[in-house]
Amino acid sequence: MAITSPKDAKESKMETATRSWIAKPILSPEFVDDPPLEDVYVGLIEKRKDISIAIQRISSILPGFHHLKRCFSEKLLLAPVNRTELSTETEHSTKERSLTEDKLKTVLRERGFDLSLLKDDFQMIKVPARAAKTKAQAARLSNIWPLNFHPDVNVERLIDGSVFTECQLGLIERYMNVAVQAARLGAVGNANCNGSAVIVDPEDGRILAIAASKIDQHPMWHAAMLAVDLVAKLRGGGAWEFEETSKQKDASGTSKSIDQREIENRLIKETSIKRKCTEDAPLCYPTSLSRISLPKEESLECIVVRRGRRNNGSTKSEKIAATNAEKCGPYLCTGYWTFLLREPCPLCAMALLHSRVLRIFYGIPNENTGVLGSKTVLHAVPGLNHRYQVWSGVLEQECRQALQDIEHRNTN
Amino acid sequence: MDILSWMDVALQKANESLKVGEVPVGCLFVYNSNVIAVGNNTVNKTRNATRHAEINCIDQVLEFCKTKNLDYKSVFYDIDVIVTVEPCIMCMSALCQLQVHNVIYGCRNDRFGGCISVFEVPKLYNSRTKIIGGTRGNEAMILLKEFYKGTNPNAPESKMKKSRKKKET
Repeated sequence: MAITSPKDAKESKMETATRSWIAKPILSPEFVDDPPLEDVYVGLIEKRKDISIAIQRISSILPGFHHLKRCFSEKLLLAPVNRTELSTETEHSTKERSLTEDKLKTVLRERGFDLSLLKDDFQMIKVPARAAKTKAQAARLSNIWPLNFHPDVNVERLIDGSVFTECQLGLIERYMNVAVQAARLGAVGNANCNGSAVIVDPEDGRILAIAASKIDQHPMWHAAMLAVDLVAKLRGGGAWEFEETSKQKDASGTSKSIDQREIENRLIKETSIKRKCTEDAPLCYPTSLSRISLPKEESLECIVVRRGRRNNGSTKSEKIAATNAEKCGPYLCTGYWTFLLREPCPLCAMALLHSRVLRIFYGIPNENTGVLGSKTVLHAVPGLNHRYQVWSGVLEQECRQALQDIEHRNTN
Repeated sequence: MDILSWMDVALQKANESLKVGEVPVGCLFVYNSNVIAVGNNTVNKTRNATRHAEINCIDQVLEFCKTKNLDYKSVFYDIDVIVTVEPCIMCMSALCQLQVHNVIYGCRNDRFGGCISVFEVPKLYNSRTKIIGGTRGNEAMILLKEFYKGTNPNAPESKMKKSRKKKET
């Protein structure tokens, strides 16, 4: 059921109490850590009635501090102490990085600021150097200096968890359950990376690939690497020859000759390049994973109640997605959701990034080499051309137990 | 053969890659002074975004070890990787896990570079692998620029580009 009626919402609220896990968003440090403070010069307003004119003048000759109120308790923000461009403009030595009070006064005078609006001596205080990114940051920073702050509704929904409806959380749990079963059935990994991967098309909820780590067979056969190649195979591509790939519920068990496989691949290419080839989905590796009973297919894109005026953003991205799908069919794993038993190593995390998955959910952190929260937040590293959203802690207890059992099994 | 000549072979492979519409990155794995793997990027051909030159070479080495009945771990341990572009975060992670001997690359990879440019993967693995960058980097860069001049027909339209264009107008 994609639409949540008020009645459902009530029922699912009761479910919340029984759910053992909380999906914790893994956010860029700028959303987690407070911005640094910087030293700035403030002038003390001489006469209260001149406050508005002083703000007007200073804003026109020394623009900046857009994230802060320019004046607070008769203190007017003038300029950061480390504002190097002012130092150079006044023909002083560029080696001297910080701005002196005298230099600042000269600049103000040169630009026509009436210094008599301010008391003779300036003060130096600390204010936030960057804008707050979240309501929580804004609350803390505004104790230091009043802010101009406009919360980003999407970010706040990530933080408070309202990004997912109860029905979506229920589906997320079901898919993670598949990942847990897959890991239990087949995963052979190591301390750096272990577990399973499930790739899902959120539009119709269809599972496209289920894989468990098999590094005993091939050092690159980490779960996510396998899952990405299985999705490629669905499109008539793929690189790895699996000795025993099988379709879900393919009970015949007869291994196909390479010729047959080639014919099949060609057929797939011919018939379904432009549309999703979901007939064969999910592909599983190792084959034993096809025993897992799959959850009923339900769209993960529950209709979200949109508040206020913020609904233009998503329609725009929907349009882009639609034109992209027309242009080239589903490109790689664009738009897909991925469920991992454990936080991925850089190999797996970057494989999913190159594949352009939309969302990643994992159960437990990987303190050794995990790059989606533990060692770094890869999806927040500047320069990368694609960003996915990440949550940890989904079915955490079950995932932890499964990992312990696998590790125990593999060492014995 | 010296590094420059190895890199010449890698650049030829990158050029071949460009001609078939793949990202022009060429790579060789050298073991006991013999090239045991030559690869290029095959992402479009395989519809798999992880099929970078290095990953393709890794598969060839595993095949080589199977036919020669060698332990792949000890083979990788002695391998020198010659690649025209700095390995991405994914490939560098793979090479660190396999503990290859040296990685010698041409130009830097500002988009995905896993040695120094975007993220330093070796630090995560306490890696023994020695990394040497800048061997015939200009030639590698010219090939990349040639590729990115033409638009990748398989890539979806970038959201970034769209919003930027809007801001400009």
